[in-house]
Amino acid sequence: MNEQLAPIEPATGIPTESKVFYALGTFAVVIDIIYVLASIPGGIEWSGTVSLAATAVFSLFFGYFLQRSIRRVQADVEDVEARVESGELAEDAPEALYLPETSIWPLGIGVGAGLTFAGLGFGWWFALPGVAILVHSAIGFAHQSRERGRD
Amino acid sequence: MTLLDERSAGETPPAEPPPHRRQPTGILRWATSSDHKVVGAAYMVTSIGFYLIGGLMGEAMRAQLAVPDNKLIDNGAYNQLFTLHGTIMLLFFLGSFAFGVANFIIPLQIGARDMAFQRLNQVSYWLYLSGGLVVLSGAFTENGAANFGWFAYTPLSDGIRSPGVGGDLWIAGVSLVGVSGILSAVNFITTMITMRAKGMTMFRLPIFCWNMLIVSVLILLTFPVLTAAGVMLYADRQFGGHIFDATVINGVSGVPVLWQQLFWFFGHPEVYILILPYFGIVTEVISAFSRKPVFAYKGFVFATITIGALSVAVWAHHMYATGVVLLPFFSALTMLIAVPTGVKFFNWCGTMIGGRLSFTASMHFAIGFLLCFVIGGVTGVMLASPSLDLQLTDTYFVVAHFHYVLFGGGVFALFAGIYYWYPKFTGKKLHEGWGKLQFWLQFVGFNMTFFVQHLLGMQGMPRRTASYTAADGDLFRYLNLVSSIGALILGASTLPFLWNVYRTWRRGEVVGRNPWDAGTLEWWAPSPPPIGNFDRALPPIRSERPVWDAEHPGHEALAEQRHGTGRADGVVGASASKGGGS
Repeated sequence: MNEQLAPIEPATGIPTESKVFYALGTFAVVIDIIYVLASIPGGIEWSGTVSLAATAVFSLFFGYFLQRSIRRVQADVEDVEARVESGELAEDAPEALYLPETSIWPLGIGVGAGLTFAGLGFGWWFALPGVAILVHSAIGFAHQSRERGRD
Repeated sequence: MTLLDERSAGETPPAEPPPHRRQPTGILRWATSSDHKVVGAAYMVTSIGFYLIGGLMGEAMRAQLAVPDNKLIDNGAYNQLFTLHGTIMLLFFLGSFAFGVANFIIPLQIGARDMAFQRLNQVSYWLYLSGGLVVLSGAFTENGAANFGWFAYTPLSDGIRSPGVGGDLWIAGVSLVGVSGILSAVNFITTMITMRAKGMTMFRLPIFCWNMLIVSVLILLTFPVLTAAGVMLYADRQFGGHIFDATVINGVSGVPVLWQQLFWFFGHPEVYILILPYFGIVTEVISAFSRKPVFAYKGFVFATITIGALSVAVWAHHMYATGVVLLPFFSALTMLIAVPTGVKFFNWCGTMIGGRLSFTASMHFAIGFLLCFVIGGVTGVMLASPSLDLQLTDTYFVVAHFHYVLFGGGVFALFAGIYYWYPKFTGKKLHEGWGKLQFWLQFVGFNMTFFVQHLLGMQGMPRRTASYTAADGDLFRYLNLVSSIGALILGASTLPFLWNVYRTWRRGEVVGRNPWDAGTLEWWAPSPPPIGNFDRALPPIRSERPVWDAEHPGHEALAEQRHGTGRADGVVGASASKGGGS
């Protein structure tokens, strides 16, 4: 049955994931140059020029980052998943993917951030409890992942 | 993308689902569960709630405009209404609903157990909800909610012309939703890049996933610009900054039009952030109900990438009337966007041609989407031409245009998605008859409301005005009346939907894994999927329709498989007899 299946070829070359970002980045470079050249007669419009340049830098950087790292990460994730599936690795082992089932801290972060930002309008007496809840929740959030598997 | 061997479906008995700790139930489950399906459902329910609020605001505005010289709503309240209507619909409803669908569907479609960052996902949801509530809370303050329009142009939105807490709360809430969007985007990208099942290459990703990937990239590119502009505006309002202030101090001044540049550098990609997920949903729906793979799959993906790229270079077509932008540059690039969008129409029509179509409620909405969106697209090209835009800008023609794009495109596709995936969300099918009734009410009401607004705009009716007089003539009077009656029908179309959801909850038809005989991986999981999603080994993934391949062995010889790029790279359908069906 399995011999009917074409084997999965190992991927080579630039990953598709990077190509998407390279395409966007290259486009932004080209279009930024055209934009600058076209606007020279009337004076360069800086906000658009800088925004497009930032778009290009971000896209090219991220494409390169993916090209360097993505194959390794994907192989690692698959390896871990296969070991969990075969029972070699416990699901809550420290090396396994961390998929916590419940957490109250995100709610706390939401409430805290909401109150803090509402304080921008209503005043500091709104923001103060907001910041307290936000910090407390962020600490709890971090501790939850550090203490996983121990409960 | 993998070096590992894989099991084929049915070869090994599915592993026992690992023992899970008890999940809390009820409201506590909704508040604490990090399961991507719970977060996705929370997103969807919340954004439908915002849709109802924003919809009522729209109804109120149409009631005010139904007859000339109406005194139903005073001018200040009207300003708040259209500001909140725009903010809610664009930032708290359409995009957020797409996030909900994506949260629920993407891990299923790529064969993952959950999102990459589960708790970050919850954080996104809570920031979104609190951001929405912060903006709405402005309505209960002394001066009312923000009233400077959803794009908050300076100098109108500065501290002198729009005093009061409402404006500050608007900035705060929109920034929160922006942060939430960025976190979601990071999560979607990471999930799609690292969590795909074996054999799920990038070019086997369902179109919905591809579109969400491009949307996520656009969010990362543009939302920071909005947040940065919001901080500057807040500094102007609160701390006496003069970034957007034209007052000359010591020979220098701020630049009010800078706000427009920054806002639209976010705002135009935002339109694609709103509509691209719905392109994806419609593609899935049309493919499933045509019994065919997507026609010219790669062409569709490239069209999506092209739209994403072009969308960052067209922001100033909202600013023709300012007189400080490069008209030829922005006009040409804006018209170019019609090309990849047209390619998508070929994809959708090509998918339907030769397919075995079934006209379910979902397919009704998908076809309604095609009809309405094409009108919005054509008027978009018209407005891309500066000579027309300078006449029509800030008239009801523009209002009609973007409602055809975002309601005719977005909301019709949204309901197509709801009717399509509802069995997967809940395990029960929505009633088809009520769905079709909703479709026809919505289709008639929508076109009645917004088509006449094209004509009103060409007659010169400006947008954002609270009233018009009898002296404006009979045409104004009758067209506005038609539009308001249409809005009533459009609003009424929500009732069959809400009834349908209630009815399905009480006594809906319980369905199995794959009620539509669709092809993407989410239909391999039980309905609704348990925690961890899949209770049996995934089928071999050799095309973008692995479930179809597994459940229809030998079907790859059919004509559409040869012509579509959905053609399997390997032999498909192995061992389907053991694993297929539910």
